[in-house]
Amino acid sequence: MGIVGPRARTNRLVTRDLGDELLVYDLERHKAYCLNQVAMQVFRHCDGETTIQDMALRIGNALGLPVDEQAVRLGLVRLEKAHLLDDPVGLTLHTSRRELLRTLGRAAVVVVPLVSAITVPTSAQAQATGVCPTLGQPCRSTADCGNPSMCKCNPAGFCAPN
Amino acid sequence: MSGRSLGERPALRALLGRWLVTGELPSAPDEALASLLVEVAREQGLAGLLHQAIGEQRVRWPDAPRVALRRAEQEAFAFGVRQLDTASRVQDFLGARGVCCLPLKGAALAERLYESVAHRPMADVDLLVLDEWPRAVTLLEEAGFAEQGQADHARAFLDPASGTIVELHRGVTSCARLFPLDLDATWRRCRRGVGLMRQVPSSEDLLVHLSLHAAFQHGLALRLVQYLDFRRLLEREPPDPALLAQLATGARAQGAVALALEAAHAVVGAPLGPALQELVTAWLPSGLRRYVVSRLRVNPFALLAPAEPALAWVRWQLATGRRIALVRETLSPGLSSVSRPAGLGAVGRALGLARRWGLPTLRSLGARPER
Repeated sequence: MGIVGPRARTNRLVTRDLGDELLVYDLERHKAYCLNQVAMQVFRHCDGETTIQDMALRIGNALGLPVDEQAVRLGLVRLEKAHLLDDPVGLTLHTSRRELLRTLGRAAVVVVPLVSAITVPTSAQAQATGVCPTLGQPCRSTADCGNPSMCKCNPAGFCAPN
Repeated sequence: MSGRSLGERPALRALLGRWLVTGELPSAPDEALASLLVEVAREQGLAGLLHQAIGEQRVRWPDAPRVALRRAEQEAFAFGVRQLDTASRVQDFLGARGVCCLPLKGAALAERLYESVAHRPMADVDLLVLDEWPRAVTLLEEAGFAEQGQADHARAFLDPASGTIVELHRGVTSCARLFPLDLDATWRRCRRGVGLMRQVPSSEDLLVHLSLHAAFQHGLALRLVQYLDFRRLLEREPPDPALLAQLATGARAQGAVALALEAAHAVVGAPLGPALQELVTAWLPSGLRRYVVSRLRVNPFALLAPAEPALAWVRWQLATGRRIALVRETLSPGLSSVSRPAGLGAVGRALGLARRWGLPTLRSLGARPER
């Protein structure tokens, strides 16, 4: 029996379910994504067997909201663009996101699938995100603690928030 | 940063510490206080755990600080996975060339003791090289890793592919020869990791490593999440007391283990149980008992990083019976990861260390513990 539906990638992905969103790290491309609830549901229903029509129905039941097939298509396109599907689904949206939002009306705010990229800081960049990542490490000067805007070497010789 | 917020930080650290012990979430009545609490939670490595707890307990928190926590958890997840992936690749890379290494501290426990790597943020990932140290360094350099810094027991490298810092260790702490670890036995006892890390140290080895790092390397000035490591290890993978006793004795790390366990018990309620309590009582150096009573039992949260630890004094106490070796190792490390000039180099190092640790230690010892 051939595959009738899209299949989510499972290889070389690390996921973390936060309840209302799913964090996904792609170990091949070193990119991280945050999937909102709708995108998470689309991703989870991509088992290679469920059709888009069934997906819309099941996701709608799971969320307690009417979910349009177009919303599922939009989710698949976004997942594919993020390389989170096993095979290209070859979908094209017949409507733009703006038109889709208009079609879906007020419910769109909750049923639009979002796949947002998470900025993965490098070790150096992590120091500029409000954390002093070398916190508590011994240092001789502030230069030992990385970014001086976030960390400083305190008089005791430890890296501390600046 | 305002003076008010600086003054509030120790109190907020204590608030977060009590949350870890009791499970009772700190309330955040206004946005300013909640934002400061988020900042302190990030400083203490607890932003991800706090975000999860707020969600699970459905506590009302102002929106902006909650969004900041969410973003912190997302970034910590992405950064943490990338760090562990890098550590795992280095472990594989060196292993394929016959050099064994095991993760230390956060890298060794983030996946096994926490639900998410986002809950155990790390500044860098540490790998303990078990054999062929010079070759391990050369292999990494040849692979394009750029050296970022060095200490007597470790060298830090930047992975050009991921921008992650990997610290390659030849000892768990400075003056590593004071604590002779049986690295062959450490490798024999290691186990398969549950996530990205292929092999991780046994519970008993991990506890000895964590204790040496906490007590000797940092004089107990750790972040809250690092104290939580002890509690989670004791709760989730309780070490065998007999094996722990054997390892700690072999590594001459009994004092460090006792002090670290006593501190973890005081700070985050790490469960010691009768067998471990017996070891702690037997092993705690007499010189440190008063310190434990006067500091840990009065206000354990005052120890938390970035507090000034009485590092030189703690090391002196932990080196009871081998203080000449401590002085020798401090001035001229025998197990150095780098080559050092003799003679004047040792004098310069002595002066530097005295300047760096002398006054802070005296200040810390002289300060009365705050209640």
